Amino acid sequence: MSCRVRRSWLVVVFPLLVVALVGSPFSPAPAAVPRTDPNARLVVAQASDVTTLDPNADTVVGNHNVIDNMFDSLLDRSRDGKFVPSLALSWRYLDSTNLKFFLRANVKFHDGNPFTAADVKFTLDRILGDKQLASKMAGNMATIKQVVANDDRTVTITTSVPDPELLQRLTEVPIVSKAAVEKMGLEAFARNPVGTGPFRFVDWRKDQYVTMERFDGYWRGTTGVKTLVWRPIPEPSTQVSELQTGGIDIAYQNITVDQIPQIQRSGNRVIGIPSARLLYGVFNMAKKPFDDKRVRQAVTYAIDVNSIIRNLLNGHAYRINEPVDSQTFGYDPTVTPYPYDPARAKQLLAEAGYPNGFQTGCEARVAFKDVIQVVAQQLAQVGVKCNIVVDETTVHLRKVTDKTMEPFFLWTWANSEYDADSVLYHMMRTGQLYSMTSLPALDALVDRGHVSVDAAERLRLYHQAMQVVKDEAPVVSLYQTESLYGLRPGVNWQPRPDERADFMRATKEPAK
Amino acid sequence: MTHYVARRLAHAILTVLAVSLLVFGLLQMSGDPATAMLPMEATAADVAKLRADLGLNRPIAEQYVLFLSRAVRGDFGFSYRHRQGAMSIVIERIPATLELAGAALAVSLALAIPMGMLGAWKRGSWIDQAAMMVAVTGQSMPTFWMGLMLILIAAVTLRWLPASGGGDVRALILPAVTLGANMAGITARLLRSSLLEVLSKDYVRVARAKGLVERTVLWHHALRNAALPVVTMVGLQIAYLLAGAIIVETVFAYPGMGLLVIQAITAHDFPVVQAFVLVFTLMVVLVNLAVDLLYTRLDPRIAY
Repeated sequence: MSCRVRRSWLVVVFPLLVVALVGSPFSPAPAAVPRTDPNARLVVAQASDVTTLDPNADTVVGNHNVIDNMFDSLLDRSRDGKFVPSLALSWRYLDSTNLKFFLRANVKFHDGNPFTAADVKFTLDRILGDKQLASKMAGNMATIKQVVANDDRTVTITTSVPDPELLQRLTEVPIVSKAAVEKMGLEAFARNPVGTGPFRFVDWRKDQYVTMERFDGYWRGTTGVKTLVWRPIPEPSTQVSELQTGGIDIAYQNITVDQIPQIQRSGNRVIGIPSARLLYGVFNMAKKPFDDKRVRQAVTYAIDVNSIIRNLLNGHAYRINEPVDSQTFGYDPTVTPYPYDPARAKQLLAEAGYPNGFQTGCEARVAFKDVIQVVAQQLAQVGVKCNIVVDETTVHLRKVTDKTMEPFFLWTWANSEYDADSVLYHMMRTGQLYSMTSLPALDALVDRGHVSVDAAERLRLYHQAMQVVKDEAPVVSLYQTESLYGLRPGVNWQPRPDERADFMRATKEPAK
Repeated sequence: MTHYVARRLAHAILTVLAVSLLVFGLLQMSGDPATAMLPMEATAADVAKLRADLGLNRPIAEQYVLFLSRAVRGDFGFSYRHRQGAMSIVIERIPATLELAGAALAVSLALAIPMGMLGAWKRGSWIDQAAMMVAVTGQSMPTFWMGLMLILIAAVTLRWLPASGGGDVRALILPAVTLGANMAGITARLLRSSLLEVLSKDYVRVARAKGLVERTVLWHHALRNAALPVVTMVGLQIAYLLAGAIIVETVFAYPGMGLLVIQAITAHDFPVVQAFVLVFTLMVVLVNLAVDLLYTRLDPRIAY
């Protein structure tokens, strides 16, 4: 009896086991897991070569795309925008101006030296005070008054004023090896960087390539490919050709919307993500007629942003409701964009004393010349005649800082700090370098947010600020641009939402 | 001869001075490097400080005089992008550009001499017409477009050569052909007309009357005498080659002076642009001087 029971038990369980192990004969075959080659060489192209490999020297994005793969910062951002530990395991505000970091143990630099608090202090001190380095990151760190290495594992940073953006800024500060910089000297270190990152430096041939290899002692684990090569290819068409021939595996951003079909036809993939760069129409409120809120609102109603995105950009942009995108701290989900309403625009213009419209200068830099032309056509529908001026980028920049720009102009802002302060303070606070706005009510809110380290209070202030911006319309919030990446078949990599070039998890299938 | 060379060198110095003034003026008008260099979060104080550090807040005349006094000592200032002396950055790239220019010149002559000679030798025939058609086509196509077409054919479709890069001979071929083919057209047409003129001279008739074979007449008697205007043109084209290299190097991501200067112009890296232009001007002036001196070798009647 017992034997029969045991056998019948087996009769039931055995087929179940077989099904569990090899899959049901009636279920579809499991998708083949792509094999990856751990010894693969991944070649990434971007528009320019690095100008230095010292990660503390400047803020040039093209440099940091490459360099940051060899370094770590104290903390990082997760894909959903939250601060996450990196070289620091945790951190705590002792008070509004003292921030203490607790550092990770057993982390080694590529040269074998251990990572300690002295390296953090050395890195921040050289950014702030090394005259020979003359770091262009110093401006971002200007609130730091003192860095103290309490012991090997803890560091306290003291700021002169409460700085709510300090954590974000520290995500962009790669920590260098004190021992390596002191041993090699500034110039040699800028050619042979030593970090704690997933890849270690191998070779740099100027204007040809930067090569790095997997660092086997990396604290976070192992990289998906063995070798990472960065190549500068300034011409987008050439970059696409290299993608087609297999000369590169990833075209990093330097591709245009009209090249997408060509890339896809050749069997490659295009990935597009919302970039940190937003486009605005800015009113110079010091110049008539844009000192009148009704005129600013009228122009905002007269611009059909959806049509620009759909027809001019083939859908490769994202409408924004307010001056920040939805990933940014301070974004107010209750704010709605101005609808396209030319009738309302005409009505507001009439109320403001311009029943027949008016003539004004409309300016943009070369990259947005098509957009300003479309905007001008749309404004003409409500009687606003634009005299279009198109500038080369640096001339455009100078005109903004000199406040000699035409009364209405297109302006982009890369909000890489993902904090409303970046846009509201620098672009809309009265008297700031890039501000054409003067709204005392907005200034009061922005000033308070600028020095508070209380996240809840800041969020409340910025939500109020977004309502003021909606009502006063000092800018037309147009759209968020899209960053495009081309990938060869067999390359598995996903760009980060904050556009930091992170190739730790990139993998490549073996060549067929 | 010594007097002539000294005079030409004095002219060269004047030319370099005039070019330096022109470049300095144009760059001053084209924007503010301080705002271009600083991050967008910079304050007005940051911009003012950087302007002061770079000497950009001084009167323009003072900036120019300072620039010249340093330049004669070989000091073109410090590149704020590369954090290195501007002159050393330019000098690093000279060998790659000279390699490209040399290879392009070789391609140009390899195409132009047979086309020009065939055109003159078979004047009016289909060979002449075909050679001249090829010459005009090469000359008419913009280097930018021709470069992209060559990439499409030789790299993307046929997979014979790399589409871009530097550092080996294979990467040099496409840029050299792009530059050389463009230059070959004008050289071929000039050689053809020069040869036609020479072939109608009495001494060529005498050579033929002596019973010399056509090949000997063409190569030994006509070509050498027809070469003088061609050498002048090649000398002038060195400047064109170096200037063309700016476009071609950008298309092919070729690591020479051209690629460097395009990036320097975009970033308003004044010291690198100035160092490049002056080095470029010097190279062109010296090459033209060398060509003039070469005349005495080609034509013993010429003496300075």
